[in-house]
Amino acid sequence: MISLYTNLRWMRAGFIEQVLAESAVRSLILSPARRARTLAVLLAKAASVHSA
Amino acid sequence: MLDDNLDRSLQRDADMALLREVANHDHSAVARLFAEYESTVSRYVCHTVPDIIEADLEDVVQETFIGVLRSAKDYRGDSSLSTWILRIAHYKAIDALRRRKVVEKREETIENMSGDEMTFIGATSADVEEGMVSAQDIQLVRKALSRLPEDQKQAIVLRYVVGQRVDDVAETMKVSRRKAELLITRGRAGLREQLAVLDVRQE
Repeated sequence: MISLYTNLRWMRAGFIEQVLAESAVRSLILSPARRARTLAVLLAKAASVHSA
Repeated sequence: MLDDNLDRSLQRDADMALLREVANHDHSAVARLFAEYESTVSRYVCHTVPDIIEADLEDVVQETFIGVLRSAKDYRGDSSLSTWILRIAHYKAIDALRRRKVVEKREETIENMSGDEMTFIGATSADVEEGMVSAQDIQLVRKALSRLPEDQKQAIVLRYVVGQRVDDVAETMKVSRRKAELLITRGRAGLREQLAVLDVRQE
């Protein structure tokens, strides 16, 4: 026999919002190398459109 | 309130000026825009496309800013620059979702067990007092988020992940303030319902 319980933390006022805010802080963002590469692509794009 | 309106007005002027330079393909303006908004776009995309990997995130961020570059001349300052960029990011994220055809695996503990092996007792107060947010909490919330209707998910991400005010959520989603409030309220309730199912503890 296995007994299951729902964790009441999620019912506490403000807890979901707190986890979402923390999720934003710990979110995947681009590494410096990928950020630099993406910016290089954008600048190249800007240059090509500008010269066209 | 007056100060708030003045701040917003000044911000819009600065946004317009920046976008004019971007529209003229001024490299330093493009670099400033990217530096200022890349992390916001990344966070928004990460919470819109479940389990996205960094390579795919890079693609979506790149597509978003190319979209910004192409549309910069059309920016009229009717909404904040952040709102305008997130609208473009939203469409690119939805495109990515469609391309990948992300199949959400339902990993609910309950579904993995046969009914006669378990008894649902109810709720536990374990951890209720604990204010710490664990990595597991974040995983659970992201999974619950991915199961919400698209409009509720978008409203919740804009409000609590990006940190927009309700007025800005309404502006980004092009809905009334009342509707934005409703989507946020329903989204929160939906998250609670999902989490009650996802976060079951076994005895």
